[in-house]
Formats: sequence, C-alpha cells, structure tokens
Amino acid sequence: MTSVLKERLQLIENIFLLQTVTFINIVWSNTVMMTEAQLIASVKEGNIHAYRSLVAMHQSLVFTMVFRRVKSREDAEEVAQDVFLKAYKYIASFKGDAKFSTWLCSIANNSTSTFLSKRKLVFNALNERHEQQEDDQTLSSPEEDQLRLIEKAILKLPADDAQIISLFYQGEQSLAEIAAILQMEANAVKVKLHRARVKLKTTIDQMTIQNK
Amino acid sequence: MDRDEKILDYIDGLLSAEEAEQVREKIATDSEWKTRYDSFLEMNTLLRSTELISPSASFVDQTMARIEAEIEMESKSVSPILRYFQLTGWLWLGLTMLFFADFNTSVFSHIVQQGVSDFTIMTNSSTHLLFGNSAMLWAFGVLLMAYVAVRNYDEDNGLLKELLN
Repeated sequence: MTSVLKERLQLIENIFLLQTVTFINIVWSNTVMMTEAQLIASVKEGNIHAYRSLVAMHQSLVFTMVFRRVKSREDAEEVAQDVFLKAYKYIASFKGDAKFSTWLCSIANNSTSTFLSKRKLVFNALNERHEQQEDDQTLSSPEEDQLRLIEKAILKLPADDAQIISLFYQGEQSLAEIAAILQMEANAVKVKLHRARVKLKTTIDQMTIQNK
Repeated sequence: MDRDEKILDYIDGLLSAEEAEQVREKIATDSEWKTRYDSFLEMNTLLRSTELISPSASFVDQTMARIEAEIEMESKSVSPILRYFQLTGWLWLGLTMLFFADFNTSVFSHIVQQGVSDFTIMTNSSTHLLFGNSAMLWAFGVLLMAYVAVRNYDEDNGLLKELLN
C-alpha cells in the first residue's frame, strides 16, 4: 500500500517537474528568441525585463559613441546610462521608422552634447599614458598591434571625427542614418567622413613612423 | 573631387559605373593612385574589424537598477502643486481654525454682534478674547509648526524655487 502511494507520489512529482521544466523552457525561449522589434513592443507594454536585453544588445554601441566624445570611461558610462534611461522613458515615441540603434545614437549624441556643455572636459593625458604603458607591456600578434594602433589613432582624432568614424565603421550606420543622428545633411556627413578618414590615415602613418 | 575622395568613394561603392571605371583605370596605371588605394583599403579593412568599446561588466545591472529606481521614484512622486498643498495643509487648517476661533471669540465677533460703539468698552474688558482663547493658541501653534515645516522643506528641496520656475 505504501509502495503504491510512494510510486504515485513519485509520478506526480515527475509530472510536476516536467511541467515546470517545460514552462521554464517556453519562458526562456520566448525571452531569448525575441527579436529586437518584439523586445521593443514588449517594453512598450511595460515589460522592463525585455529592456534589459535591449540594453545588453546596444550597450557597446552607445558607450562607444559617448566615449568618442567624452574621452573618459567613467563619464561615458554615466552618460550612456542616461541615454538608456531616456530611451526607456520615451520608448513609446519610437515608431520604428529608423533603426533602434540609430534612434539610440541620436539620443546619445544629444545627451553627450548636453553633458559636454555642462562640464568642460579635458582629456586625461595621465590616463592615456598609463594605458599606453599597460599596452606596451602586453605581448600581442601583429593583427592585434594594428588594431591597437587604429584605436589609438582614433583617440587622437578630434572628438567629432572619431565619432563619425565609429558610427560608420563600428556602429554600421549608413550616411543617411549618421545624418539623422547628427542632424546634418547627408552630403555634409560624407565630406566630414572623408576628411576624418584622411586625417586618420595621416595619424596612422605618423604613428607608424614614430613606432619604427 | 580630389584623388583621396574619389578613392574612398570607390571603396565605399558610391561612384557611378562610369566614374568607378575611371578610378579603376587610374589605379591600374598610376602607381601613386595604386599606393593610396592600397593603404586606404587596408585602413578600411582594419576599421571594419575593430570592435566597439565595451563598458564595465556591471553596466547593464547598474543601468537597470537606475531605471527601476527612477520608476519607483516616479510612482511615489506627486505634482509640485499637490505637494505644495500637502505641505501647507497644516497652514490651511490653521488659518481656518484661526478664522473660526477669531470669529466666535474675539473682538471682531463682538464688533460685528454689538456694534462699533461698544468697541472701546469691549477691548478693555475682553483682552483675553484676543489671545487668551485656547483654540486661538492652538491655531497659532499649528501655524508656527506649518511655517517651520515649510521652511525646512524649502531649504532641503528648493520647493519654492521649483514652484516659482
């Protein structure tokens, strides 16, 4: 009698476990498999957890955009957090006409401008020197060296040029999208990007000569 | 359009077929164009392979914590006008009490009730009615508390500034 009862209890327990696992799987797959558009729709409906995924997806892009102009990691993190906070508040106004990343970048651009106008930042040369020393100590492949050289060269560019290069290459934004973000004419963006690339090339050449 | 711009537009695929053909020809025949093209192409490839800069590992958690805190704060917060009335509730209550206390027990009510001619006699005999009534004292106390509360709150939060702005 007791063994039968035990078996039944075991069976109920197994069914319960199976159902729980299935339920978790469904919830998990819904969260993981959600596309960006679905996540945005979910956030608009009040699901704050969906917003976490959006933040995780775009954190590097927003951070890089801000960092290019602010040139301090701490400040860039603070401004980037503000960007995501603003985006969350006004997500209802995002209609999906542009890419979500473009919309985020335009908020990032405005927030950075506000931040910089409030606080006049001076590039922290001491930090740069420190980072440089750290970099020099690490062993790396020639490809990594080249990438590091590019990154250093971008840091040496004026903030606006660095930002436009990052938007185009790293942020994968088109000229029209960059124009929307920076509130400029597409033609002006093209000229600016062209000049920025020529400057970058000159900087890279100078740095290569110095390194030799 | 200068040489560099043409080369970069060629790399980006922004030129018309005819212009692209001209650039291709130049690169094939002119060594300076070829060198410049190769170096821009290399830079372009490198730029495309550079990665975005990552914020700290706790960035997402910190951002979400800030958002959640903001939501919580917004749900608790009330409009400045409502807050003003909440804070000065004591003040309004005190004023009302003062009015009734004054109207029922003070010289004012005697003047209303008995006429201006009796005023001199009344003020001589019922000075206590001006300040001595317990309701009056209580009302003054409440007024004082309200004043102190509003003043302290204003010092902490700049409420008046917020209201004036």
